[in-house]
Amino acid sequence: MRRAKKMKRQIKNKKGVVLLIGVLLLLFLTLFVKQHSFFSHQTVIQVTKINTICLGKDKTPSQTSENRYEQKITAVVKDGAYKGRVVTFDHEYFASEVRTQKYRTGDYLYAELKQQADAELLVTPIGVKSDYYFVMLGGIFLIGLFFVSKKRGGMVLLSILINAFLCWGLVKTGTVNDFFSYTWGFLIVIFCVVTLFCAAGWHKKTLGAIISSLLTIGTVYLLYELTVKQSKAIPYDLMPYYAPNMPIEKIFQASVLFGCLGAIMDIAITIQAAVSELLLKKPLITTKELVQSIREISYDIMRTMTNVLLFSYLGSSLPLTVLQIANQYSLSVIFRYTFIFDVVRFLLGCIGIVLCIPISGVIAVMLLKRRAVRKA
Amino acid sequence: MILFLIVLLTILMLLVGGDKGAISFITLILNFIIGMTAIYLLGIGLNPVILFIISSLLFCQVTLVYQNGFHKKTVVSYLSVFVVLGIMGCLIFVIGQRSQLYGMNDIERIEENMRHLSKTSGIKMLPIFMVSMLWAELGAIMDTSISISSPMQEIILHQPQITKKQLLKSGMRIGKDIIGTTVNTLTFVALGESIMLIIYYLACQYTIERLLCSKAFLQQIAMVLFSCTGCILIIPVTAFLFVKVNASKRWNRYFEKIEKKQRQADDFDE
Repeated sequence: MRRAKKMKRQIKNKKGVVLLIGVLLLLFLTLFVKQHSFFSHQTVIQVTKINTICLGKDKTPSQTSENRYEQKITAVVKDGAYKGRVVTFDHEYFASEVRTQKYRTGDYLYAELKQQADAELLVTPIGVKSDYYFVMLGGIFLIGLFFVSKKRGGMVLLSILINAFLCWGLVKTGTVNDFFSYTWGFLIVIFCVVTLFCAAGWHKKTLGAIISSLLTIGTVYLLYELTVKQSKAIPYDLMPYYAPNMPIEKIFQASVLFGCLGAIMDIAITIQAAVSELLLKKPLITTKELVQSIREISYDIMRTMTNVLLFSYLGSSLPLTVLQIANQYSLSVIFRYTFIFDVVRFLLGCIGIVLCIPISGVIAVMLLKRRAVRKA
Repeated sequence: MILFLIVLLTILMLLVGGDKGAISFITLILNFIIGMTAIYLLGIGLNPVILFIISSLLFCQVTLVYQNGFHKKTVVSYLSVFVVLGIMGCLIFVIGQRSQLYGMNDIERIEENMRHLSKTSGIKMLPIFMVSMLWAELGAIMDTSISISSPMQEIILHQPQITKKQLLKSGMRIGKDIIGTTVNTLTFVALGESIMLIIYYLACQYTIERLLCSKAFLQQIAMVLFSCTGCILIIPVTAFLFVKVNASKRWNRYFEKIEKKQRQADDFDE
């Protein structure tokens, strides 16, 4: 008894030690990446001194005025052929920092250096070196994930990594046009299989979840073909990050389906797990009772998942919309040409979520009930 | 087309969820209206910090209280959502400011559609970026929180003698079950959103090196990482706060009073 207690305490201490090691490792890694340009071979300069001058006032679209500043920046070259040289350059920004942002003392910047005739270096800043912040953020995420949900967190991570790797491989094998004519269909199947196996393991309910999420995705696909594709309401060439000569309609379709895939798989596996649990407890449960309990669970999932989608899309479309409102765009224009992409994604995602509930319920009853009855 | 999809969604939600489906549909609509109004007010140039606090209070009111009623679990979720929003707000502020994630990114700056937008806007971009990141994770945070606190309330209802430690542990265990699927959902939503961006990079033949310097890419990555981190953070916060609130006498007295009032109101209705 005492020994068990001691072991328990040891395990607890071990958890603390692991956490401590993780945090230390993260700190070390962050500092290391900060000092070395690990992810890029561009020249790094560090800002040492900034003189800010106000250049005057400019009008904003809403008839107020706003200051324009110029920064006279002195910086030290940190690596490359000109290491140690002190360089100067100018940088302009507005108080609202829409297009260009202001630099701060101590910032590390990527820059292009060019030797000029009069021995001066011409500096073109490319951007802030922010990789160490991302290392830090990723580290916080990983430590949190493992601390909260040890093994399962690892499986989720594994599935994301496998998915990303497969996605990259498939994209690389063919042209973009090829990809959007047939490969992305395979990709959806692969995503489903990999993610669900990693989440639920080798089990009959996993099979049920895969079948039901694929069926739901198929239904959403059909719905997309019937509604969105038929209407001319979507201004594809106004999509953000529009690249010319690309099968833009197909890309949008893929983005709609990928967007709701996660939520659909989530619901499918939850319902399958709940039904198999119920059947384990009460093997002789009637189909009617089963449907009743599925309904009860489904309400909870439906409301949470639709909300998650809503906020995700609201947040991601916010910056551009705010800018457009500030530029005096009318609301109907914003809705018709900017918001519509996220609205379509959100609505089809929600429909997918709601549809997934009866579909996976039926599949679960068909797959699991029969076996349970046979066993009984 | 949009109208047709909305009608279809309404019918499906009513069919599948019944009365409760109607409630969740109304919640969705209310949240959408609050969000739109807040975006519009932000665009006019009202103070983003105050606007964010008011709008998230309203979001919580609608999502937590309207859907679940006023109980211990909703109060705990309310508190923990705001604690996490505060912590994440600080993190987003520091990282967003220092790595210049706010404002237009490198691709938006050269894009044809953005040419008409003026260089000045009269609105500071850093707070807008923070609001956008916090909103993106707000939905997931609220839902994770309520999904942890409501089973915890069930537990103390069935086992009033449970110790603090056990209660905390069971809260964490529930969180463990939820976190995997939430992270999956968030990553796939982000994938759907960033597919255009990925294609853009492919079309312009970006190298890995240029990709890692590209602000548009970093913004997307930051969004996923911030939302997932928030979702993880809310689990211990909710479990801990629930145990605290459950143990404190003042809170318990307060809830007893409220329950009495609710019961009286119910009797009156009958």
